[in-house]
Amino acid sequence: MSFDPAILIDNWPVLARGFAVTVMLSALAIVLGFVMAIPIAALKLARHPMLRLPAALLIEVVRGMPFLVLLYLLHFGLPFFGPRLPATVTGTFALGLFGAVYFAEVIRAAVLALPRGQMESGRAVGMTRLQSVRHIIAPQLVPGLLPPSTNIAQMLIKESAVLSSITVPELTYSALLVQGQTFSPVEVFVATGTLYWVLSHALATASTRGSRRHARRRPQGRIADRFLSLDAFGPRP
Amino acid sequence: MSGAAQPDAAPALEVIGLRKSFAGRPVVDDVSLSVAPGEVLGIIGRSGCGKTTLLRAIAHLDPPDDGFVRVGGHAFGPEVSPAGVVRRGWRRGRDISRERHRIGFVFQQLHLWPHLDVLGNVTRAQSVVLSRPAPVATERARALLARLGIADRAAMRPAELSGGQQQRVAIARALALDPPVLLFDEPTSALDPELTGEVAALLRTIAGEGRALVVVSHSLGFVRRLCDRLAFLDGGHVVEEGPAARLLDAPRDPRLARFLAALAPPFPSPQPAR
Repeated sequence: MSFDPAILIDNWPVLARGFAVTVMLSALAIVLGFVMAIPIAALKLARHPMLRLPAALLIEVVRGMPFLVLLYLLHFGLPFFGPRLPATVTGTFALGLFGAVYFAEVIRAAVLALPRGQMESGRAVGMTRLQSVRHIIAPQLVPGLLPPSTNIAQMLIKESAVLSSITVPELTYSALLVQGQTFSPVEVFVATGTLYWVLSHALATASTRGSRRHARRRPQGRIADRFLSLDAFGPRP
Repeated sequence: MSGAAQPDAAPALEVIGLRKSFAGRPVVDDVSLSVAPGEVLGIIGRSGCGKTTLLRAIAHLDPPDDGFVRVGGHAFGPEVSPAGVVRRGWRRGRDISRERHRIGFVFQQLHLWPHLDVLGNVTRAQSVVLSRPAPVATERARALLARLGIADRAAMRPAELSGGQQQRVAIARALALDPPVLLFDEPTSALDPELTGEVAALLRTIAGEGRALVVVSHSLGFVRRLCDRLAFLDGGHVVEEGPAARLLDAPRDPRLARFLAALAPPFPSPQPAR
């Protein structure tokens, strides 16, 4: 068995187009998921149980089912209630919704981890609620939010492969097409896997840079700081 | 003790008929107070008597159910009554946030902003609330920090400071907005006795600049050193009010007498151990 790069060279436009679709719909789903997560987290943090209930229910239901099932439910189920939308649209929405419930839990945890009285101290010096969120609350949420959100974003990039099952022309779907024509699964899927890795690794690198920039100086000192970050194990070879 | 107080001047802070209930239970019940510029009013009373609630209601952190507050003769928040909101001297729809900088509030737990350094803690509200240009805000902050003896801590985070230094940052943060009125909730609860004296002296100086201070405290030694007048709160009412020394040394109301006796029990001098 041999690895024939010619197959990839011949078919790269198909894979490249699939990769572009994957990048775009993942990015869209991540943004959409995060935006949808904010009201879900806000509801989950509400004092009144009747407000918490719908958020809790949504989180439980979506987290409790495989993404493929959620995707099928939305893609094949929604046309019973409205117009049939293109697979790319329902697929991206399903991916966003899937991410939203995880993002919501991360946001909720970050808000709960805030020191008490922060909102109030902003209000006490005359900031409006919005100004307090902007200057006091949000900057404190970022360091706690970034690493787990990156994990979720990476998960969404990889789950986007599932959209191939409803014929969204993304990377895995394109790979299946090429594989079907060339009968060279090894070449095609090694290349495909590498492209997913590149995307996911680029995101992780950007996130690490971002969290370094936002890193709070901790009073514990440099050693604790090193061991609380990923640099404790030295630069990778 | 009352060196800087100007009791004849128009009151810097007036509180009239303030009420606040939680879950139908009145916590602050018809409290009226008046503090002149340069005067320090102490509020004493048992735990749960409504001291902190009163302070928070004055600053409208918890809006009062009834009564109203004036700062320097101007309405601070709408006047409220059981019949509804009476907007005497208060434009409809006006956001209380726009007025809050006129009352400085120093929380018992300080609530400094951990993501900002000391300088940021003192400048942020100046730029956001008063729209001061950054150089002006920074200059003001540095001057305040120098006055409070923590100029060398400007680049540190609150978590890197001692309790006493953190408190100075909180005071600087409130002073940076030049409020004519400052409210302090238990300013000595986290400090050792030596620092307590320093804080009393510091607050005295701040009042000496013509600001009105209201200080909630449990420490009788502290209020004796600091306050011109005292109000004793019990069950949400001001039971007794007057010059600090008079209240502490010759209480008229039996509840105040019991409170003072409980805090400073007349122990006999300790006998040498055998």
